[in-house]
Amino acid sequence: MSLFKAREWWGTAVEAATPGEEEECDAGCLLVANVNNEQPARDKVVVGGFSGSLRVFLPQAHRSEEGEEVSGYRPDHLLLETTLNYPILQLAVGKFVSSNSLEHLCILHPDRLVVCSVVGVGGGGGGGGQGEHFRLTIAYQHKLPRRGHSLVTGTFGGVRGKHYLAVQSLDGCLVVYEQESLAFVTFLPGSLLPGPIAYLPRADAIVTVAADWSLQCYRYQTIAVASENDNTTNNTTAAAAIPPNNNNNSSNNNRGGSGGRRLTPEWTQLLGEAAVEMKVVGGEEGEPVSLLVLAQRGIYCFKESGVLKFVKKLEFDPSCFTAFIVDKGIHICVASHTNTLLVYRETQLKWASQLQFPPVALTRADFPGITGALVMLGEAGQVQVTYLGTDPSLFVAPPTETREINYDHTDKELVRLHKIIKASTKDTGALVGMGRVPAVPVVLRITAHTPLNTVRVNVAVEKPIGVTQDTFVLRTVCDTSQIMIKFYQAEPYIPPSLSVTIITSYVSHTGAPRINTVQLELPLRLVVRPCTPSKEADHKITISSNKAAVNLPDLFPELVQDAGVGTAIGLQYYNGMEVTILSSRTTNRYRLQSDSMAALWLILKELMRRLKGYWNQPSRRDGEELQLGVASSFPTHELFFEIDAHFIRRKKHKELELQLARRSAQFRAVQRRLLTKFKDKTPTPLANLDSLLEGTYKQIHVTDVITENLKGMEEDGCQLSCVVRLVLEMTRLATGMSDQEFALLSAAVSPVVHLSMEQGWEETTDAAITFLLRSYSRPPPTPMPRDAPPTPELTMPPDTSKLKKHLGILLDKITKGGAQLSLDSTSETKMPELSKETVWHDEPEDPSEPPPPPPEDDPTNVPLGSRLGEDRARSARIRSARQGPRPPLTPASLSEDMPEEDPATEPTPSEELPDLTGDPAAIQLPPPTVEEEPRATSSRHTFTRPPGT
Amino acid sequence: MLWEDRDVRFDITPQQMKMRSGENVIDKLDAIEDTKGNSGDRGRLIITNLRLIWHSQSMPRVSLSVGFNCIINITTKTVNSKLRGLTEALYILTKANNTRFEFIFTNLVPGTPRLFTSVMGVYKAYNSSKMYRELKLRGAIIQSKQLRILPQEQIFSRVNGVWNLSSDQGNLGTFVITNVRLVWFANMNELFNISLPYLQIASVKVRESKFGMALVVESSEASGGYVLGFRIDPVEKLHEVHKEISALYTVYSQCPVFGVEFILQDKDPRGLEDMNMNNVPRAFLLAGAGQPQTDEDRLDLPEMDEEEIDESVSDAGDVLAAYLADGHHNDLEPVFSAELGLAVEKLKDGYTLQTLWEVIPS
Repeated sequence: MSLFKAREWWGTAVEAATPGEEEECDAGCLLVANVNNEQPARDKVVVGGFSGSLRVFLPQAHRSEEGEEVSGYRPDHLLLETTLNYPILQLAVGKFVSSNSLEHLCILHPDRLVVCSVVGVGGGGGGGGQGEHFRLTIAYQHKLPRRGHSLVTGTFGGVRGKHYLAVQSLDGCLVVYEQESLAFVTFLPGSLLPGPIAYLPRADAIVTVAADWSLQCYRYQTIAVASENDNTTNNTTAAAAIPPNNNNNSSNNNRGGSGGRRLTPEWTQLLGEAAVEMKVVGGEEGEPVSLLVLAQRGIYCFKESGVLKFVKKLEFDPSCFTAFIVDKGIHICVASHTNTLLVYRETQLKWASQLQFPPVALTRADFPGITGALVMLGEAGQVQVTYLGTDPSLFVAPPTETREINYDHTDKELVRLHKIIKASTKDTGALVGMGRVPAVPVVLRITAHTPLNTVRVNVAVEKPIGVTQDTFVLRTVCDTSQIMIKFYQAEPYIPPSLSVTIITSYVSHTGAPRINTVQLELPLRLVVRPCTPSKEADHKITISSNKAAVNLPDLFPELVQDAGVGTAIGLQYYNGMEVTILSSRTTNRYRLQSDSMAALWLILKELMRRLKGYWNQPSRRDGEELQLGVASSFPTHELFFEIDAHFIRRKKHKELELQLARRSAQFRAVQRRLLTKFKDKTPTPLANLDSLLEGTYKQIHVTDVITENLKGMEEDGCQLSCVVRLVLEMTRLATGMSDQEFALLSAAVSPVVHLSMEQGWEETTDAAITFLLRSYSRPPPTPMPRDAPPTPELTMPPDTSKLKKHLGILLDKITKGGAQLSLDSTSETKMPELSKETVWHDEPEDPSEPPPPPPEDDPTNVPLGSRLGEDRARSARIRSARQGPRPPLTPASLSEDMPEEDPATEPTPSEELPDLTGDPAAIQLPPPTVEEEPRATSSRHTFTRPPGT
Repeated sequence: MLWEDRDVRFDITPQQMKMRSGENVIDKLDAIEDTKGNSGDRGRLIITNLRLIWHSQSMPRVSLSVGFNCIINITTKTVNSKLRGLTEALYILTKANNTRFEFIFTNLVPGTPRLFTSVMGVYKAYNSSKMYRELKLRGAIIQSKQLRILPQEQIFSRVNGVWNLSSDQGNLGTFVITNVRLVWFANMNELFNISLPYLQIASVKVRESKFGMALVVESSEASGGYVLGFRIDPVEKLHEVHKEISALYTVYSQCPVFGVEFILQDKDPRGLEDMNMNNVPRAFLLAGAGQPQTDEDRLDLPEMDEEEIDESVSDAGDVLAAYLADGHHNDLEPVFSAELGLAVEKLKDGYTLQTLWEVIPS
């Protein structure tokens, strides 16, 4: 973009012959010459167009009334305007008429070549006032044998005082006219599509660009002789040899058969790119003639002999050019498609200027009042005579003065926009029927000692808890990356667990895949809020302790509503379920009571955790470990109730699915019947099939019920999970079983209730319990009792009575019978008193241990999971439970192995929820406001919890 | 005096904003931002057959009027609008009284090309109907002794035997009088003709000349101020023709036919189909089928209390400055530069082409 702009001296736009349409022009449509042979000579601008309109303008400056010289278009500058019947491809001027040596205008139409004279009649002094007028008289015309493409004129063969014409056709045929008569027709070799064509006057040669992007020069004599040769051998005239409707092949055959001399170029030069335009400059007064070729990416200058003089490579897309000689130096003006005009002296850039439109044709001319003007024609018929501006346009529009700002108005608008932003920001989920719930922000900090690529972070939460985003892919981790996530309660169920697992997977620089798992517990405040304790409740659990009952506000400092009451605390889930904790100083007991059994679990767990933490503090440690016990009856009945509820949901789900299957089958059948009816050539009545189709379609809406039921199943699953966990925990407290035994028990009576599995919780649990019971009841010598073929496939049981019975027996045995669970054969020997109960054999998982010899009648050594018909995940869990200590998968062990490249994931959860109770907008979820987050972070002490705690 | 299509004016008065006779509203777009001069301000763009009017919605006195005759070109450009951000905007370059102005209008309703189609379409229609408004000499308007009439043109009468007195010997020709213009063409040469719309006639008189009594028609200053003399024999016929032309001149210079035809494809933008219609070009040109717009969409001009105009806030100079494309300067006359071999603008004292050119680091 140049600083300088081209200044318009004169300009107008030509219109198409039909009103209301735009004219279309191309490179050949502009001609500047003294076409009417005016004396003294003045150049006229002749403009043709594809619509057939022809106009002759005389741009000139005129004197205004004040005597100033004014330039610009005036109506009397148009000397002639007419509409020809054919599109105008190219215009040329020259001495084309044999009877006189006046300049004539030659117009190339697609199928004819017209030579005509422009003569001024009358008027005052010629070429001026409105009284003058012009006549366009056709001198002669040639009908072209082939569709014309471009025209070249010149003193072919060195004739003096006249000009001959050569028309290049679209298929590369050259037709030469010696004024009124046809001279010869010849085909140029190597022409596929016509390129630009030019005539070198001194060498008397015609130059074209062939289809192989090479410049080819043919001497006029050679062309003439070659075609004459053709003509004589064929004994025909040139016109007859190639009649207008003759095709290319036959003429080629003629040439081939004649054995005539093949036309060979005088010289060729490879351009290697398509040529846009060609111009010949020089030749007057002994100046050397130069041929200039504008190609798509450069300007080439050749001598007449074909020797390259210079090349200028262009960095833009040129549209057209013109060239002239000043001081023996070739000046080239190139216009680009980016509205720029560049002036070169040979290869040196001398000037650049912005144009108003990209021209298709460009030429230099003198008019009264201006010398060395540039005339350009735009694609849509804009004609402009310009000169180069020298006043650099450094002008930049000044910034607009700010109008008075209405602050009230803008404040209101800001508030309104903030509301919109809030409403549209997806965060913390829509909570149906729960009102406002809090969210806990967590910062994951990933530190890598060596740069890692594509680190994938997954956040796994259990159902009612939601997370803003659960998968992150970090393209590169160089030093430390931070991820901000938020946890919140997404569904109004009672959560069975507040654990979150963060799994980071990556490929180390050695190419080894690594996985890093971090577990963290979310704060209780996320799901409960304080409320007033209630006296009565349906379900009660009493926990006894060997230490004095702790003041409850000390245990739950953040959940206290009334600090004065030390023995009771009320907690409420966000779905409305309330739990009350009571402590009794006299009996050292804690009582948890609620209307929902499931609601007790999380509180019990939290209570136990906090009690342990409380008594583990160094100031209170007194040598005696905290012992907790259960002082209330087992909630077996409630467990069975939850199992039934869950089971009924599953049964309903099956029924609904079956219903859906039947209905869709019916739908398809009706469709098929309808289709055959419609396809039938003879129309038959639909026999109400359409209503049946519609009815069936309506029935398929059972899917809505299925979705609803699935939600219910999810809720019941959570409840069941809670109660199972509660029962397991109580069992542990009641019997004081070891961790290993507890792991085994919870593997059998799994607290994880999957929703989407083919095998439901009931049958898998039943199978596991049956297996456990059977292994108890068998005497130890009976080898491998668990290899007794179990039910080959786990299917949903018709009812839950068996499961309940088995579960009851198992719990009974464990709590009352004092049965010890073990899968370790070694433990059997250590505990002979248990041998009457059960012996548990297992394949050794640890290869370092010598495997006990497998019994002869144990033909299969299949893994446990497949035998039990469990999914692999479950069996893996059992296996790991069997192994006792978990395999070293902790991040600590990993970072020991690869300390320099391990991205230690350090979650920084807030220990407590931000104290936001005073700010209703902040607690309100959804949606969390954008501005609340920094406030929440700043008002809270965050601490780094190392992985593994 | 017709200025509407030939001038660019800023902060126009309500009188100037009103439609003149023959002018009509073609399209009206609310929610257009004048990105160049009033960025961040919502306004209304009114497209008439002669000009574009924009005024701010909040401050109606902030307005501008751009005549179609001043427009050099219309393109689209990607701009950064205060109200829409990076968006495609209508870019209009104009020249009025030797000063270039740029205008950028942004449609605040996304996804509709109506701003572009309407403005460009009307501009095209304006440009291709110059015969209604411009004097034309030696044009291609006659075909086999018949006037090629314009779409909205009606021939009222035809007078044979009219001598054009522009050259010494005179040329015998024919008058064609229509509702748009006065046409004379030579009987001997169809290329010799005059097409003079009533809009460009300054006066019609009968007076004595060296050829005897003659009808003298003067064209307006803007069209070149030509004096055309015609002789019709006998003198009674001359007076008859003079009377007819004078009467028509009075009527049609008051209420001219501007000839700008543009049909909006769908009038009601609130229709349900409009959702789809907005994506297709809203308008297209229909030559020959255009009728002047009915009054159905009357231009409701902004309520404006003239007394409230606060002259102290902004003077006209500042208003102009925002739109200047080239700064305040007049092009200097061309001189020949021997160095380039081309005409260049006259250099300021102390500068040479060399020094100017080498300012730019190569």
